[in-house]
Amino acid sequence: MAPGGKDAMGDCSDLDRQIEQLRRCEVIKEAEVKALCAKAREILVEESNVQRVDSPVTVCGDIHGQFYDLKELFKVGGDVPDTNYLFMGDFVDRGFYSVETFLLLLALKAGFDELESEDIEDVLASHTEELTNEDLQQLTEHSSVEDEDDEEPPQRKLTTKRMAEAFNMIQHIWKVRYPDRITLIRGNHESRQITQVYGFYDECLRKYGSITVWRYCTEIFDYLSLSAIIDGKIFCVHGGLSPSIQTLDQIRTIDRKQEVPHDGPMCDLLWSDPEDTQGWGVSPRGAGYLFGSDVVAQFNDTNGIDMICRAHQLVMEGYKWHFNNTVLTVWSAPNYCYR
Amino acid sequence: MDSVGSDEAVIATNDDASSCKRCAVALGYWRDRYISYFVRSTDRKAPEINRGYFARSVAIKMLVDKFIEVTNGNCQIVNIGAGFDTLYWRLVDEGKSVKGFVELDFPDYDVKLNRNNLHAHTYKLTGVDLRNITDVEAKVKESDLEYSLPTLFLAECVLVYMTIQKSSQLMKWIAEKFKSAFFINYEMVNLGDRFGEVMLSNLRSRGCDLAGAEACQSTETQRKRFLDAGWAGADSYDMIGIWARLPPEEIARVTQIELLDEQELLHQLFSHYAITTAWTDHRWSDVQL
Repeated sequence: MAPGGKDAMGDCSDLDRQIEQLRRCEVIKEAEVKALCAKAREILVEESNVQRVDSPVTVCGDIHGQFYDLKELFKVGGDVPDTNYLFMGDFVDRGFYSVETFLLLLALKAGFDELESEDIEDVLASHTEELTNEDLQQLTEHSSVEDEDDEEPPQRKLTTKRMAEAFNMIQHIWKVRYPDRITLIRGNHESRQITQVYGFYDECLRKYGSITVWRYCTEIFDYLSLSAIIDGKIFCVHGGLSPSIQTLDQIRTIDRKQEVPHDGPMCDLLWSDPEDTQGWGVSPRGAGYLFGSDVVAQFNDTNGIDMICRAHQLVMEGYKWHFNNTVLTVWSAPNYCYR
Repeated sequence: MDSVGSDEAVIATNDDASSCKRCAVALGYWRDRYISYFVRSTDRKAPEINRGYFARSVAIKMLVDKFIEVTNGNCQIVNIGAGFDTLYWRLVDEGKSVKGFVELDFPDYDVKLNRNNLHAHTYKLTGVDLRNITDVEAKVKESDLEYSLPTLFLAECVLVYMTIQKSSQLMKWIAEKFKSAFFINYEMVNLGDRFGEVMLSNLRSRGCDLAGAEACQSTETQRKRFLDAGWAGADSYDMIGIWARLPPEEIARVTQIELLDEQELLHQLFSHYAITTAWTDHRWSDVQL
């Protein structure tokens, strides 16, 4: 811990350093993981179960701890924050670098998703010259806050209230200029139970000598959003549809902050697969369902969406269309097949 | 595979394979009370890897058992590039005896040095460069192998690391020298597709050049390499076919051990490995699953 009560994430340069370290596929300290997860939680807790995302955004499938495939992906697709990314889960398990992969994505999210209060102050400071109270008034005219300072002569001094309004305004400007850089949604492997079978648990134990980091990460898993919607038209989810879900609003009402259940709507979203059939079928995976083209047509129609984008299944060519281009499977871990 | 560096990389594939086997054994996929003496425990492997090793290990053992059965134990076994294979001790445990059991492997297999040239009445471990037939012939002679006895040769992911010229020279030599030979070859197939490409580049990045990949294009090329080397007959099944031939009760048992969430991956893995059997003597054409 740095003096002055600042924790490991206390300033931007710490996070920048951690991102650089993780980019080199080096693990960060346990205390830093704890702080990073705490910060990520603050961001994730605000996200909707159907997180809104604007295009352009690059949508990616399973990574499965294949750090070098992730690096290649950034090389080809453009680095963060130059390119916006949406990762559809399964960051961990199977590959050798689940820890580095997940923490890098989390650090990139924490680093580019949220505006630091110091950053706001910086922006504010750099705008003081141009910002008059009049400007502020204009910019915040829709604010419900009543202006009590009509009589105040125009000067560069901002009242606390106006300072707060300026904060909101700048946050808004910032949001427009830097929309969410990385959206992470939950895959079926972001679970305590699955990671104990498929490698992430063992990897944490081996790299840190204890399961503390695994606990921090699995706690964060519970906060990951369940799905995303791009421009209101492309529904993105790790697995697929659920017989208990007809509308996006039904997804929005799920209490997601829990371990992935063994059945029910939340489980299905993370486990289901499309199948060349009609209606619903039993999944050979032992969780989720198989859903047919009619199910997709109905869901897309009901929710006014054009297509469903999902991951979850190995596709050697990287992507695969189903049901007359209404469902797309994306796969982003090309080396997954052989370790 | 002429440099020492790449030989070491190939030896390292044995360590990988052994730790995978140990993991699967520890989870209860099959019994092997010797594997833990050869490799230390490692991370838990993914279920599809465990199932893959189970299918490979059990299918090979079933074929070996059948060969011993049809020859009434009046046979020899030569385990080529055996690595840390525990087959000999497992057979001893089950009271299955053969006239001779020889393991041939890299001569400077450091980790095995304390076992090197370990000779018991029937068991011999000999260091040899399989690419050098004169050396192979000399070592076979030293090991008291009888050219006249029915002899089972076993190779798991060995020939693929030799050039086609060297591996076919070895197979020709066996077919000519041994009066009655049977071969079990566990190896890759379908290397020509995308999955195969990734596998090749993965192994290459670890320093393993699959010099013999050409023979691993299909079950047909696997069969053909034996027929071309003068063997009387050969069969080859990919692991999907082998899995379907395993005892149903065993399949039912092992599928309960771990949840497998990705069937497609197992399918991909299984379609890229095969067991090829070949014989110089038609009496052994029935030795199959």
